[in-house]
Amino acid sequence: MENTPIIELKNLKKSFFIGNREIEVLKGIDLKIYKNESIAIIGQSGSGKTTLMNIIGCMDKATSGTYLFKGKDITTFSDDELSEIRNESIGFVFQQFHLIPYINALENVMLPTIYSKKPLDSVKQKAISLLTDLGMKDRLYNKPTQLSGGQQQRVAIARALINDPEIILADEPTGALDTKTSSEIMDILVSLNEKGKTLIIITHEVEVAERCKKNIRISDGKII
Amino acid sequence: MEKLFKLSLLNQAFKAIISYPLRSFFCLIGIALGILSITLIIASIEGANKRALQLFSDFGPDAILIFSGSEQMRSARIRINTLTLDDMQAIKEHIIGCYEAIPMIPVRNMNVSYGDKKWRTLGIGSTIDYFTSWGWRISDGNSFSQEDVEQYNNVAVIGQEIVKQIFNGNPQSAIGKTILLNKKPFYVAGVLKERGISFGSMVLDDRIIMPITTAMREMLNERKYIGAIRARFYGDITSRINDVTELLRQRHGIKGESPNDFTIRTAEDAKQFLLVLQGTLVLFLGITGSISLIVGGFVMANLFMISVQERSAEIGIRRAFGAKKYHIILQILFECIIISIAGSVLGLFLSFVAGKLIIAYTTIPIFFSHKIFWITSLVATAVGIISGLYPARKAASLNPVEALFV
Repeated sequence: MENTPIIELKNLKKSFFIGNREIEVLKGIDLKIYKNESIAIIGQSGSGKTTLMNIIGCMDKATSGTYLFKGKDITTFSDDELSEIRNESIGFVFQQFHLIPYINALENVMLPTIYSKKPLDSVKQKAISLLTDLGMKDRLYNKPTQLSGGQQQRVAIARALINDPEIILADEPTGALDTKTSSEIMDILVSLNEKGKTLIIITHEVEVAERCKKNIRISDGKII
Repeated sequence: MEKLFKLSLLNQAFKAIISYPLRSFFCLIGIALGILSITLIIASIEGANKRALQLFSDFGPDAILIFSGSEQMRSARIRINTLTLDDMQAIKEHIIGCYEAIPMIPVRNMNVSYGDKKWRTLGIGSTIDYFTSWGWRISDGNSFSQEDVEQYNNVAVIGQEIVKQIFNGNPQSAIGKTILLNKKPFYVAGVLKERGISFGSMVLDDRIIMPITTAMREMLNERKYIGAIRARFYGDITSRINDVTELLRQRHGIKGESPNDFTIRTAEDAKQFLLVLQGTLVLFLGITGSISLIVGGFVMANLFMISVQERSAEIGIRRAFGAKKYHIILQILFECIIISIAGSVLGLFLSFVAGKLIIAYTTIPIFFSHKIFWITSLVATAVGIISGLYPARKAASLNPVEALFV
């Protein structure tokens, strides 16, 4: 059981249709990610890394191949079942933060719990303590537009953690931040990995990739 | 648990509504105007219904009104008097079950003057039973007496509209005064209680009642014919009408297929008349009202379609963090329903204001019942769901990946 990968992709392919032309973006990906690993998926834009992240994050489905999540084949899961996996097991961190503009930081952090089956009573306390741990204690009731980029990303990280997912899936988490803030955010993500989260970062920045224990390069839809 | 979850979706919907004030405001106004017109229509239908029932009971379900002149003549507005006081006596004596019959003769466009005040009204000559027969009490003073009728006395009982026009609305000051009716002096004996209802241009309170003898001899120079007879019966009204028709045809010497030279009306006829009028009105107004509400619904559907496009990132975020399609549908629907209900509340409020204005400045009957509240809430919810459904499904069907990375 200990050796079952948390994520296992077998000969995964993904194509898109543009008009009548089929474009193969992922050309057979084989990948095993184990619990508590920290992995950087590195590639240039157009390499297929974002498509790969979407599939790993259960936001998109592969055209062919197999996706085993905690040993379970989820390739044919329905939209609702995939939503549940995203809700319970995956915490997303995006380049553009993607906070909802009309609710405050605290409400943004609590957002995933609206859709989960967990009891909601303790959620607010938990959200406050997550934000406090990330140094956002004084910004609980600010709207995203009143926060700096680094602060927004902290809120986004707290949101990714609220449902205690096994996996943190970050897409260019530092792409919109300056160098100093970037390294702060990376410190947070690395420390989460040290506390037991499986960390997957999609990036093209070497500095970011270096902070992860394992690097995977992707080019032209293949792992190299 | 499940309850809590729905509450938090509702909460999100509320926040979204507040955060897009312009969109919400336009939707709200669209719905409110639709509800306003529907509410006013229902209120006027109910008002008309109430009036029809009022008319029915005022007229008396056991009463008939016999007019001089045939049906055709009446509709051609040809006025000819064919009924006589003897006809009335005959009905009273020969028709079984007739317990009351009163004669009436109109004095149209009668000039009233007192001091420098002038007014034009309808005079009616009748007997002392006029007041009890119509259930119309005298609020101040007295009726004219049987003696007045026998002696052709110039005595009048005036309606409240006359009091308003001639005596500054003070009925007490009218009693015992002498007014001129078509330049002839009349003693004001009493004032009729206010009726407050009107039928089209006819205001019931705008009339003066005088002894029938006076009206015939002094005002109209008429020796034989009267305008109408009102009679009331025990028992089945339909067979009584047949009896009366038979009797009058015989007395007027009408034979075979020749048409009647009189017309009989019942309370039922009066009610039917109002209901027919109402039927066409309801159809017309109903279509107008529904169209305005449909337009409101379209405005909302349209604005929500645009809104869903604008909010695709938000929808993508919600989906990424585990919202299922039906969560998205529910939230958009909640937003639409909340706006519709708020719009209907606003519409109801506007219609109450409009209703008050209509009652104050027109003779259109308006009546608000609790039924209106339920109908509008139901309609508003339905409009909310119907106009929200398409945008909501559209939002739910957005591909989360594309929604996030546009």
